[in-house]
Amino acid sequence: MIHIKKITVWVLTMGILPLFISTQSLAAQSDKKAKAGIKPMSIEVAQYTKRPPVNKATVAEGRRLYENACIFCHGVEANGKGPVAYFLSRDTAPLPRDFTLGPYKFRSTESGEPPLDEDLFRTITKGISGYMPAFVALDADDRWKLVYYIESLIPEDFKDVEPVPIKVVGKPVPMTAMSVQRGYLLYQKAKCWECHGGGGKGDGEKAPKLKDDLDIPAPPTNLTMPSSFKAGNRPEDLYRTILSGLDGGPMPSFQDQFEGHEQDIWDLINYIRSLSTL
Amino acid sequence: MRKLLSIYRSEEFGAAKKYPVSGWGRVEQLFVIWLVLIGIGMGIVYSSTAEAIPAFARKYDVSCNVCHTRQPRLNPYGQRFMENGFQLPGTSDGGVTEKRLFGGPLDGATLDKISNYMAVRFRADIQKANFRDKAATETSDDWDIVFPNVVNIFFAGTATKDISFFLETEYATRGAEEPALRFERAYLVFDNLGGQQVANLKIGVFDPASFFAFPTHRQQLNPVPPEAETDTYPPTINRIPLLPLAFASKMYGLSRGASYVGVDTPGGAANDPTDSEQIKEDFAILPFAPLLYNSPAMTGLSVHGRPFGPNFLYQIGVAQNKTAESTSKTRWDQYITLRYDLLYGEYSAFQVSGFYYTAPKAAMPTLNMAGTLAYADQAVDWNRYGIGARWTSKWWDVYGTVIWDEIDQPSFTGVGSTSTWDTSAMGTSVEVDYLLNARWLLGTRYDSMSAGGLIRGMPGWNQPMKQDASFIGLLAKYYPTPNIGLYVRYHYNLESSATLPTALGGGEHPATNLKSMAFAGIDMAF
Repeated sequence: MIHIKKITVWVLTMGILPLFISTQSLAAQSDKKAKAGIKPMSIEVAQYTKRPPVNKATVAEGRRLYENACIFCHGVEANGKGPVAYFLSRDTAPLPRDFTLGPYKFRSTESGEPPLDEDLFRTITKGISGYMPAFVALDADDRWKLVYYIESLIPEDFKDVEPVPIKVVGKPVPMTAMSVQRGYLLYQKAKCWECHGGGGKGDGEKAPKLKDDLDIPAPPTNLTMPSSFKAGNRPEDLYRTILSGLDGGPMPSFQDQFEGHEQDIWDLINYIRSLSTL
Repeated sequence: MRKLLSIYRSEEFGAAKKYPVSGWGRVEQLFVIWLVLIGIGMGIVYSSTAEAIPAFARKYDVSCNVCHTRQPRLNPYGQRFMENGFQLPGTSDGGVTEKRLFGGPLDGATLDKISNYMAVRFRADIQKANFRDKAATETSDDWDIVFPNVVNIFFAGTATKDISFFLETEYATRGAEEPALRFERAYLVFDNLGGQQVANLKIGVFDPASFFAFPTHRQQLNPVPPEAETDTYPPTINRIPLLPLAFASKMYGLSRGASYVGVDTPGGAANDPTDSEQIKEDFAILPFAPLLYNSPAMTGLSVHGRPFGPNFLYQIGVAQNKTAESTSKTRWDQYITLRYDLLYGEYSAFQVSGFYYTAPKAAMPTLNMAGTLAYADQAVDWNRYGIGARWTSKWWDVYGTVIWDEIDQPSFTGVGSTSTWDTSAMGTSVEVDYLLNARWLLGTRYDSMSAGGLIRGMPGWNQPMKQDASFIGLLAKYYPTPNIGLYVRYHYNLESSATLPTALGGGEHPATNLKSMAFAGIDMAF
């Protein structure tokens, strides 16, 4: 009989311990890949250049899809007040997006401007780490229809603003010691540490007081954990976030500060990526 | 001898079994405690940096609270996720979900990592029962450490697009003569047959009420099993269970019939249905055992879907069982569930559902006439129906159900013909949960059972006598992370002050004897 007990204990051990290991290693693997540049969040909107037409039928179909997939968080009136929203995150930002308001966080446009179609498509496709699942399983056509429906909700005065894509200058540079050092100096100069902290752990002196436009506490991202970057963790994603900011939240656009020497941002990105300990 | 009954087991009627609390060595206990402490520590450490711990949260890289009000209870999105075969509502995502690894809609369409399929739920607590008459029970009223209480290991997910699976094993330290892993539920689902949300075919061992507004599983106040013996008739109930009494059988005086009598016994005739020494476990149907529609697991198949849009859900199903006749035959229970869902206003959702479940020849009215069992002329049909509703708004989660049970009027010849029976019974359970903030949940549940079944064996004879039961439960739960709940809870028997006729043989009626029970424990998933 003692063998049965031993076998049982062994089975439990073999079952539980690997789970723990895989649990913690999942984030670690992801962060390592992000750091090493191994196709993290590699999906590109360019793969989906073929779009359905924008018309009443596709917008209506987008609404139908919304009611089956999105309504639980974003709400009946698309104002981010679905029944799950409170349970998901009421004490800290982000709440699900209110599509009836203007400011959008995840954009490749200048601060204060509406997002591009591609920005919405990218968010639907990739999701938001920790909050929104990736809806890559929806057909690309269906995702475009969702984009059309969401765009139909954007306030008219905001729609009139012609979005201007941010200017991408240069490209990711190798993560050399020199580049990281330059990035460190930029991190200090741009005062990123005020919110993100000296070590990038999101514990800067301003962090406890940061709130979003809805007056909800909005703690800064822990830069040592790329897997939790809501707008993506590729160098291109970080470039976009730094330049465009996250409208509606406390992360401002740094476009003015880097105007004329945007290529320096790639060094800052290398420094941010070097903060990952895994 | 002290016995414990686990009614949340996989067999028919929740499979009443009796289990002595023994055979669990100190070394093994310490090892499991050590393992669990490591688990809790690692769970806290890693969940503090990444909230997505259990399998589906890992798979989709989201917080547990995308699908749960607070673990283990599902929110409306989690309900739809389960309905859709563990796929995101409105999609057929199969295994194509690793958002950091995909390179296109079909790139990486393979099985996920094992950690994206596998999850562990661990429960342990410290208990203290308080009885009105200690002499009327064999159950301890000392402080009792049940650590671990139950460990569930789940494997669930999608094998590929629109084919999903669920496998649950349970390891209960007090649930078997030898602690062991055993299957609880196991099923396959073929999803979205005929189109998105039109029909989902579920086959295997599962709980029929999983789509009901007040489902049998996933209670914030976890079911606490009774301590009872079901191989005697009437059953010996040392401590009644603490669970939603609406789910209970509610009927006194029923058994599974002579087919539950053993084949042989030393010194007696074989297969003698009048010989109580030959009765097997599970023979007596506990008035408090969840069964039929609310059975935690039964073999069967069901079809569910939303072909008429996102508001209406249907489910029809059959469950395989055995009749309570002297020669047991296979019986097919049938059931139907309808649910209407409404999302409205700000942060609010409402749902109302109803079900009907019919079980032919499901129970045998039985009398114990001074040690000799007398059966009704034939097994009775058992019908169960109920309504349930749920309302969530902001951090409120309110849900309740009323469930009615009806059996045929028993017919006896001979000595049992003077017995009197109540053929209907009703149970009500209402729970209110409120999140004070992201970490603190307060809950309360009211359970009431208006019992049916045997009223009186013969004129002037009081035992067994049906007795109503009602409890109020209070809960405070703290979630340091979304996947770990630390709780204290307290149940008070609202009938404990009732003055009852003395049961045959003396002593307190089991439905009133447990005055209160307190717990402090942990419920975590990782």
